Amino acid sequence: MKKKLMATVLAASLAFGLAACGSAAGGDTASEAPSEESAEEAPAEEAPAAEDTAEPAAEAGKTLKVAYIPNSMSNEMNAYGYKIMEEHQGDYNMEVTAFDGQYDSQTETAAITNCIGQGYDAMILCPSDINAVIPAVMQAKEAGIIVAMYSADLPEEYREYRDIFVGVDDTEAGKNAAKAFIDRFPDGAKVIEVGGTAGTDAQIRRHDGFNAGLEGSKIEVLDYQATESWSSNETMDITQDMIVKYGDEIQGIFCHWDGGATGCIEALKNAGIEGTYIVAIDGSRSGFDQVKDGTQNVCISQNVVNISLKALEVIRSAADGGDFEAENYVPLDMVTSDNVEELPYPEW
Amino acid sequence: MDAKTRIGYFVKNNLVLVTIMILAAVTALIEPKFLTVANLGNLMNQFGPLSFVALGMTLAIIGGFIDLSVAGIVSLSAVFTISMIDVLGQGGALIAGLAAGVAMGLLNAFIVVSCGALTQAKALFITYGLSAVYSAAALLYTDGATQHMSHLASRTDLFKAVGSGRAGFIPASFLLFIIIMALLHVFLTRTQTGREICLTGANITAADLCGIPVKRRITLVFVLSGVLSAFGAIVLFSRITTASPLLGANYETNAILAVVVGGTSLAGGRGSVVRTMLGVMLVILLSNCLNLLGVSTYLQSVCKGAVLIIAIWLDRRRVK
Repeated sequence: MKKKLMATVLAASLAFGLAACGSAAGGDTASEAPSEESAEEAPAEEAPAAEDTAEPAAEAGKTLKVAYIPNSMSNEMNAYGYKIMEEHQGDYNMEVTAFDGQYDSQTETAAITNCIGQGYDAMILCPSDINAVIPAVMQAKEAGIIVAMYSADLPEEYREYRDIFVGVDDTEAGKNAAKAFIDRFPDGAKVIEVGGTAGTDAQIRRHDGFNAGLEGSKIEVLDYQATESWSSNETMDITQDMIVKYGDEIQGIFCHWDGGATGCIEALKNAGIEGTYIVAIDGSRSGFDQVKDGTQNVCISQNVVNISLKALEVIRSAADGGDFEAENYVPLDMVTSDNVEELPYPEW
Repeated sequence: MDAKTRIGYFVKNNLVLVTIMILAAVTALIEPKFLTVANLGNLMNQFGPLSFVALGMTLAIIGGFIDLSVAGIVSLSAVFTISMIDVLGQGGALIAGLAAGVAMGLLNAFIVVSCGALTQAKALFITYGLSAVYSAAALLYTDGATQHMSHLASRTDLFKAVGSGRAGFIPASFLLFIIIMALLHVFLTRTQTGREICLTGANITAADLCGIPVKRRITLVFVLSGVLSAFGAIVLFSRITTASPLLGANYETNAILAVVVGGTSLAGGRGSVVRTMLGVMLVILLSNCLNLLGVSTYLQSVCKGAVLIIAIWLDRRRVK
């Protein structure tokens, strides 16, 4: 009896864990991906086939079932994006449900295939690995589902399999970071680059964009290290190591994200170094706060509200058979001490 | 015993120390800045969070278990402690954070013991599941948002002292680590309870037949692992001044790496917190040296993986 009771407690704990794992921060996110069973009941082949991009997915004006599948709901930008979608889904006659990718391509792929089986009309995808989800995206396209890529686009040769891209261009964000350094140091400077998680789409594009933007300039990148997990602790360690190696040669730091820049700033503070020019991407609260208090010079901000609303707007147009742009780049804001008070303070 | 045999014996028994010396010598030759006081302070500073989690993991492994819940404990304790500063003040939040670590350790032990999951393999999956529970709880508790010390209305001097305070050029967190490591060393080697933990880890059936209260010893091991992980979390957020609900991600693998590399046997019953310090030193030194030498992140991961595989291989050879 005692053993049974204990087994029940354990099962309840683990069930809670599994449920909580799949849940999103701050919303009624689906606790787990739709069941495999339901996917099997309605395989992709049986779903209505799309004749042309996005057209047959839904009747005009009907309530659309939209699946939002981000790489992780623990990512503050994704969680905030979902909050915006939830708030505005009624405006576009939609029901948006989130499925947590848990930074795992397998989980993301399973969520996509299961949503196909459950008859979703549209998907908003922000995968951790754009290449890993391609087969599932192709399956969704065949099933006539409107596929919208959110912030991370498919490789060029596979873009025919998605209907819409909405987001900022991370390559462009990297180029903007380069421009910020070139504008600040027209006569040249030595900088270091601290990257996001090695191998992720955002890290690769921001790094490539930064290097492309610096071509032909007098800015010299002394060193570059990426992190293992978008961790501020890692950016702090890396910056400390770079300070040992290069000392006050470092005139600027480009960090791939605002939260990571916090680690760089702390490392500089601990080393008693002042005046280092810091540029980071994201537009989160950390970035705005750091720009306000003068520890970060430029925050290249992606407007999550605009990206999320644009995604809903374009999906609605596509479903209604109206005109829509396939590629919707939302402009980046360059946040500095001059305009930080004028721009809306981010909620993430 | 001739000199050659003695050297061979020393190398065989102090492989981590020898590896550290070789790594340091090679890096110093290529990058002379490695041997500066600034880098020494930098290395001690980087000891902070991982070292406390690794100490807790050492106790768990000596006691015959692998505690994968440390990642979740670090995440939840960090966001909980930071959120309590405005409510309870600095001292109160510190105690609340450590109490949260104790509570999570107790829950781990309760579930492991009550399920009869007294083997390493069975408990491994339970602690893995609980790590997911704690990580999810951290996300729910914060709504997924990063907690910032700079957003607090209360004073945070105590945490700033833990995170970036120094005595001379020695970081406060490193001093705390040395004190706690010394206490744990005495506990494990000079007290009956410590020896009972070792025996429980080595052979739980024999320990039970000898009259050792094995369930209480297992509970103690998980509680110590929990509270040390919570302390590591406090050192971590004090250092970077923010706590994301995913702060503890990957800490379990780095802690296991440090413990195993240090020479604590995965089979349980045998190990030392002092050797864990060497393991932590090797892990940190590896990152430091590779960063200074400009080795890419991808290759750094390969190097860490290779070190873990070699350490486990050597551990198995020693057991044979």
